[in-house]
Amino acid sequence: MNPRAHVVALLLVAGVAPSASAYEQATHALVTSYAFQASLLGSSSTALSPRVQSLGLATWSPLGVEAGYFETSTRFSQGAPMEHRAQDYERGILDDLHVDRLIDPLRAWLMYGAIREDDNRDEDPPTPRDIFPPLSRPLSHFYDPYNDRALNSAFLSALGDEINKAPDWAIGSPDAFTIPNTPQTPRFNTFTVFDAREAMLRALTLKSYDGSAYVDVAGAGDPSEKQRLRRMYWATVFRALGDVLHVNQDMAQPQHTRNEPHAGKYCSWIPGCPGGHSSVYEKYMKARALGTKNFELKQPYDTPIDIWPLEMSAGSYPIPTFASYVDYWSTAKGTASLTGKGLANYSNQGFFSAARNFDSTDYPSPPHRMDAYAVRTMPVRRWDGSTPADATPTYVFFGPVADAAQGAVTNDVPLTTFGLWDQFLQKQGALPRYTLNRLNYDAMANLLIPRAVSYSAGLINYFFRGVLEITRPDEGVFALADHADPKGFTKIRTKLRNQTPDFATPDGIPRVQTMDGGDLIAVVRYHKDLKYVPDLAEAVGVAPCNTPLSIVVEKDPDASTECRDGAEEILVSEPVLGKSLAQGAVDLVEFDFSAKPIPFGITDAVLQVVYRGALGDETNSIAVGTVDLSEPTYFTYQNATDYIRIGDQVYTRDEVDRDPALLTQVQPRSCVDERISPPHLQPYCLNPFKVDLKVAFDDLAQPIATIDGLAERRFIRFAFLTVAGEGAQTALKSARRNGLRISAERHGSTRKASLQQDGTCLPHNPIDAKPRLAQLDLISWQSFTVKNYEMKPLRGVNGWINASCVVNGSDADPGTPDDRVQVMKPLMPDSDEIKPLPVIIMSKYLSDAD
Amino acid sequence: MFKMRLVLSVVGYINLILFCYIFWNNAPQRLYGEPLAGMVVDAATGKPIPGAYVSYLWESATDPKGFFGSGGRDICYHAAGTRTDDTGRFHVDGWSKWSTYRVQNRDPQALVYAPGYARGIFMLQTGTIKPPVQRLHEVYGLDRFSGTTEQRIESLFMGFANRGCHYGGESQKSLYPMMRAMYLEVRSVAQSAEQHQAARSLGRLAASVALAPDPNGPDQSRRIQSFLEEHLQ
Repeated sequence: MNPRAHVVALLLVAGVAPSASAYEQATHALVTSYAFQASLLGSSSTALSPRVQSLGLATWSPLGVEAGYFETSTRFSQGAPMEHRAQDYERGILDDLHVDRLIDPLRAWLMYGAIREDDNRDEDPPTPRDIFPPLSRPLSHFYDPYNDRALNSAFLSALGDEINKAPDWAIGSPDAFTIPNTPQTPRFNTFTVFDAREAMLRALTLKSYDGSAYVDVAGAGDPSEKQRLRRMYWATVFRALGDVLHVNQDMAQPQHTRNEPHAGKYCSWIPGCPGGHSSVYEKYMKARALGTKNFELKQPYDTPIDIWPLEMSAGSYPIPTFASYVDYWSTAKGTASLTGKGLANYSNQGFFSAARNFDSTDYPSPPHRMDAYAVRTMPVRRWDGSTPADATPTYVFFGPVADAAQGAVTNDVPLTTFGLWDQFLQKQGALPRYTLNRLNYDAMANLLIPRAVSYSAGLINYFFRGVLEITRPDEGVFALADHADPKGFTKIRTKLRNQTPDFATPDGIPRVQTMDGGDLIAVVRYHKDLKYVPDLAEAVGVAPCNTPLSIVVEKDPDASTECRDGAEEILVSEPVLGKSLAQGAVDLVEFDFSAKPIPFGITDAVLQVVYRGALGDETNSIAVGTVDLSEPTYFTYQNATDYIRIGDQVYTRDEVDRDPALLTQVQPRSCVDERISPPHLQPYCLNPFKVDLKVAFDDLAQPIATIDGLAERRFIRFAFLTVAGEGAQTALKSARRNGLRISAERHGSTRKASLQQDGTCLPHNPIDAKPRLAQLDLISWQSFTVKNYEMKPLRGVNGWINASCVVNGSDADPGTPDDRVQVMKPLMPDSDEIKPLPVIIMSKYLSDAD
Repeated sequence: MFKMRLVLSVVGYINLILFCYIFWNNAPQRLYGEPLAGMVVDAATGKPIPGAYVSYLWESATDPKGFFGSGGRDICYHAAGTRTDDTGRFHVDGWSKWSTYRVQNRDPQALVYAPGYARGIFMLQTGTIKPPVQRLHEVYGLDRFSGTTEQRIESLFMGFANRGCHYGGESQKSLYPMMRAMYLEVRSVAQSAEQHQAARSLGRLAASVALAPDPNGPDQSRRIQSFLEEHLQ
């Protein structure tokens, strides 16, 4: 160990490791809140944003109630996630800013991360110590793009890999500029982009990719435990991303991009205040964030400052759309940094800092030439707005600040002040000097805070950019299964469109977001229907489970009722490997669930498709699409040809034969033997018959289900999964519009069964295939509605879409209503009659194992 | 031999400095506040305001232990709340406790709240930080509030109720009566959804000081919610 390292080691043992501060935590929290609002996750109304819905987070308490989260990687136990709880420390700061985790969970968890990124082992009272080992995280919150360096100091360099360039630290790469897709392993920081990505895959699938296969990360556990894990992984995504945002936001603090520590320690002991003066700017920004009327500075000032309150606003800077994480920090190094478009480039070249002011030659920009500024004499106005009696003026240097990202220049910005007044506008008797006072800091904040907000919003948008649009295949349903077979759904078929929006290189050239050779996984989320029995005599939708409050506890939707399991479960398909999907392209993909079929007894079903793989420049990205599924929607067809329709009523054959009045209405008349008295039906007319059935969405030439020779008083029933609501997606609307069509023909006949003497079917083609719903619909994070529609019986058999054909005994137009539902007697209980007969399901919907 | 002694002496000296440094860094110090008393009056008429809430917050920036230690957070390390009597007078006892917090003993700030009046924030000390002194003749004048409901709610929340006293331990419970009173006022005037939301936030802050949770303990959102439902509905 070299001597310098020895000294540092001693300092470490003594618990006096160096550290450096950043924007205060409340400021980061507020900037993060603004960024969330500005991002695609935010919403201007109380409704949840489309991106939140496409992520599948429009669900009750998506990040959990108990504030748990994980470290998915740790330096000392690779691969074994460590469970943590959020601390009251971060909750307290959220309270101070008017944000409640239970009401606004995504925003809150991002803010939690933004707060906790400042964990520092050297504070007393300590910042939370629940993450091991305790680090001085702020040391890695610096990046000087002009010199391409982390915080640089003789003492600091011996600390080795605990000090990183800010983008490397946040992204998790050993060099985010050259190998952005390579994680640093092991690494101190366990809340990086890589960690957020890993947590996202686990949150969606409860699986992790080990380099060759997808492995289960949940182990054995009941559904509520697995739900808890998924929620905690989602919390981890936002917690880690909040940390990442914090590190980017620090690039909007010039001291962090101009290699200027600002610890404010031992200034009175060691000449030159080697740790840097306390940051006036950061303390002032915190006061603005919290609306306080004063702030206090430690060394070398040791003074409280009264201020007149000024709100910290989000501004409206355009949200960047860089196609690479590191670009949000810096798009160029060295002299090229001066025209770079990252946030560090902007603050490094655009502003002075307290110790790298006009009289410092460490950086070429802002320039050190007097002719670059308009120098104006200005009267002194103190931080609290008061004017001192002394009329000695200050000289304020107004200059331009270039914004390469927008190709714009903000002119006349008061960049520094010269005179006998110090930063607090207390008159000093010594020589005049350059200082930054409230005028300069307000000007700085006006430009930097809106950029901090927008760059963070851009990072959020970029992280969650991968979007898959899920629509039904041409056949009209996602899944289809014969209800006579208890197995359930073994395949999901869906069209997928890569709807990832455009992102661009720093030069503005679109960087196509192609999904390239990654893997697709389908996930079906649902709550178990605790009442379900295969004959549907009991199920959600059937009394006593036929009202909204019978399936959901209003005060606690996580609680189970006698009808619905409160825990949401997931089923994950086999992965579809090596799929590519160009931006905007559509492909039909089939997912195999045969290993664990999707059961019929489910409610609140949701389909998600997850892509893991290369997306644009990120090699291990995730894209996701979500569609709210119907509950298993039952189509029942009953051969009710033991009934005859006369006029708008149905009768048994015996009833018709015995009633002369009815016989007079029978058509054709040849079916009535009027040669005898009283007249009777001819024995060959209006008899029950077997039916050949085809069912299709739209095109009967491509039936999704068929059966030949369905006997009288027997029925078939199949179930399908479709979209719950048509929503705003045109593609979804068109599928529903097609409706369900049936073709019911007398067995062996080529004529349509709806013709006279053959049969008349209700409902009439096309049948409105309304999805069956029994689900909780979120309105906001704290309010929801519950849809639970009742299943109806036909001849004593419960179903959702109940079709039946009776013999047509008169000349009624096909499809005209009649009283069959009320009149037809139930099928024989406890007999084969109430069991569905097998139906042939379109082979496309069957897995190879079927 | 001489060289060896020199080296040992230097090493010993360094170790002594380090020991002193570590001791200084971790040694508890006595934090204290002097007795405070005075009166709250209507700024326009000079008449006393009975039943006004007076809360003192002892706040300070902290010194980190590290050589380049961060500028340190600003914390509130003690709180004391009381109400004025029928003559508008109040009194707060002095206090003392040991702590390792690297804060400076100083006079507190006073937050004064009375329904119908604008909030009052009074710095007891300006300029360079000095140790606390006994102040028994404070007079806090409050202006009548004039403004919109939104401005009223904003003024009670930002920079006032949201200061809290997270590191005040049990002492922060003394803030509860004032926080509760502000919550009840805001709840009674709230009309829009945002204003009701602000009322709920104020309620949470009130519940938080009442429960005085450990900042480095697990998130207490549910406990706070339960307190809200039990005591502030």
